[in-house]
Amino acid sequence: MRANKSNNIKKYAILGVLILLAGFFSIVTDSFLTASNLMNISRQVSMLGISAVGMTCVILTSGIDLSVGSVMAIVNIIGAKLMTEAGLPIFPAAVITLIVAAIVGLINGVMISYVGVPAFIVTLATMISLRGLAYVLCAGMPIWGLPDAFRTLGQGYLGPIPIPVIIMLIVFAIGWVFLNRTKTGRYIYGLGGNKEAVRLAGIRTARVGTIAYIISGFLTGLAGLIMLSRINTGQPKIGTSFEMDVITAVVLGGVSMRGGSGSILGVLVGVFITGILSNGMILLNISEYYQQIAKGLVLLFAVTLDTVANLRKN
Amino acid sequence: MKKKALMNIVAVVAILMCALPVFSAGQQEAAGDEIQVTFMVHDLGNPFWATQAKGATDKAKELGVKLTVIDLQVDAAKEISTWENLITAKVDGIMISCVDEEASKAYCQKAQAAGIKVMATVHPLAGADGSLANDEYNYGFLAGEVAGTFIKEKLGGKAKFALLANDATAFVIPRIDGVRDGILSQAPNAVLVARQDAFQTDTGLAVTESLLQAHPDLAVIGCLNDDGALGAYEAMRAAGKDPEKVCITGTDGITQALELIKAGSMLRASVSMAPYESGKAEMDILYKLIKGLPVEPHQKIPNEAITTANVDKYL
Repeated sequence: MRANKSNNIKKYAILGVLILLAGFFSIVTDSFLTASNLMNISRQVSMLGISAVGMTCVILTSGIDLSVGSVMAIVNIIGAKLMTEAGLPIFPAAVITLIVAAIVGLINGVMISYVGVPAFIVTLATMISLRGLAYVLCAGMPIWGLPDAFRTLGQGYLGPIPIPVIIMLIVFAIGWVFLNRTKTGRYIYGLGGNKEAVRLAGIRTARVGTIAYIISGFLTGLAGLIMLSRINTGQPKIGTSFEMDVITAVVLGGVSMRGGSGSILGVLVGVFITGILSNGMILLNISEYYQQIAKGLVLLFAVTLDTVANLRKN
Repeated sequence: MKKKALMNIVAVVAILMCALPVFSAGQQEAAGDEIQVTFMVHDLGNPFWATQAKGATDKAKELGVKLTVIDLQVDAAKEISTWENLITAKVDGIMISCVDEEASKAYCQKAQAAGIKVMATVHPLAGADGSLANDEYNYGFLAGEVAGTFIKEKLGGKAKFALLANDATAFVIPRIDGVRDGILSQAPNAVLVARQDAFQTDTGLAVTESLLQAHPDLAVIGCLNDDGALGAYEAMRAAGKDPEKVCITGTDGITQALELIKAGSMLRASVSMAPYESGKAEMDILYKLIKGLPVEPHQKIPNEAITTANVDKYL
C-alpha cells in the first residue's frame, strides 16, 4: 500500500512538469495548443514511446538496453532490403524484420541472464556491432523505392488519429496489463526489487530477465518499422543516440534506474514531456544551442522534483 | 553516474577501434615500402562521404597505395585520438575531412613534423600540405538561387521560407548563410521564419512537421544537405501540400534526391560536389605530394546547381 501511494505522488509530480511545460508553450505560441499540433507531437513521440515500453521492462529488472538505437538501424536496413531488393510483400517483410529484432533481444537476454555478463556491457557490445552490421548490409548507402502502401504505417490516419499513435497507445495498454496483471510482469518488478527473494520463491529469474530484453528488442523493431515508413528510406545511421532519448524518457517517467519501481503511465508522461519540449522549442524557433541546455535542465528539474516528492513521502 | 560510465566506456572502445587499423597498417609498413595513407572521413553514414571514400579507395588501388578508411562519426574526440594514433604509427599521408578544424590544426603540424603529408579533403584545415576545398558559401548560394528564382517566378516574389541547418558545426554555417542569401538575392521580399538544426532525414522530417504547425503557409525550405531535404520532402508530402507551390532544396547531389529532382517533385534542386571525382583527385594530389611530384597542392571543387534541366548528367 505504501509503495503504491508513493508511486502515485511520483506520477503527479511528473504530471505537474508536463502540465507546466504545455501551459508555458500554449501561452507563448499560437500554434502549440491546436488539435493538429497535438496530433503532430503524438506522432513524433510514437516511436520513442513504443520503444520506451520495452526499455521500462528492462530497467525494472535493474537492467539497461543500450542497443535500441542500433536495433532501429538494422530494422531500417533489413526491412528496406526485404521490401525492395528481395521484393517481399509488406506483411512478411515486416514480420521477418520484427523476428530479427526479437532475436537481438534474445541474444542480449541470454548473455545477460544466463551467462551473467553485465547488461551494460552486453548491450553496449550489440549496440556497436549492430551499427556496424547496418553499414555493412547496405554498404553505407541509403535504400529507397519502398512500396507506396507501406507509407500508411507511419504516415496514415485512422479517422483523425495518426496510425503510429494508435499503435503506441495499444502498446502502452498491453504494457500496463502485462506489468500489472500478469505473473511474468510482476516477476519483472520483483527481479529489480529483490532478485534473490524472487529466485528463492522458485521463479526462473533468468527466463524472466530474458523476456524483458526480447520485449525491448521486439518493440524497438516495431518502432523501427514506423520510422522506416515515416522517412520512406532505409538509412544505416538512423536511431543514433536513440537509446539515450529512450532512457531519458523512461527516467523522466519516474522509473528507478535501480529497478523494481516505476509505472508505465509515468513513462507515457515522460515520453510526452520529451516530445512537447522539442516541438515547443521549434515552434518558438529557439536556436539549437539553447535547446540542448533546456533539455538537460528539464531532465534535472523533473527528476529532482520526483526525488523530493519521494523523500517527503518517506 | 551511469551516463558518465557509459561515456568512459564509449571513449575507450572508440580509441581501441581507431587504434586497430592503425596498428595493422604500421605492421604492414614494416613488411614492405608500400605507401600507407589513412583517410579520416567525416561521416561514413552520409552517402556523400561514403562515395568520396570510394573514389579515394579506387584511386589508391590504381596508384598502388595502401589506403585505410576511418569513420570519424562527426566526433571531435575520435578525430583527436585518431590523429595521435596515426602520428605514432608514422603513416606516409593523412587525408582528413575535419570535424573540428581548430582541434586538428595542432595535430596537423605535429604530423608534418613527423614527415607525414596532410591533405584537407573538402573541409578546410589551415596549414595542410594540400587541399581540395569547397567554397561553402557559394555551395549554398547556388541552391538558394534556385529557390529564390522559384519564389520570384511561381509565388509572385513573396513567400515564407525556413532553413534546415547544422549550426552546431562551425564550418557549414556559411553554407546555410549562402542558401539564405541566395534566396534573398532573387526574392528580396521573402521572409525567413525559422532556422533550425536538421541535417538527417528523420530530424528533417520531425522539424518540418513542427514548422508546418507554426507556419502552415511555409512554402520554401532551404536545407543544408539532401539528407535533411528528403525529410522535409516527406513532411511536405504527408501534409498534402500543393507540389506546384513548394520548393525544397538540398546540397550534395545524392542519388535519391536526384531521382526526385528528375521526377519534377517539390525537391527542386541540389548542388554537386562530385564526391567520387573529388575522392580520386584528393588521393592523386596527396600521392604526388608524398612522391615529391609536381602538383598544384590547393584546388577548388567546381560546384554546379542540379535542377531538372541538367539532372541527367549526374544520374
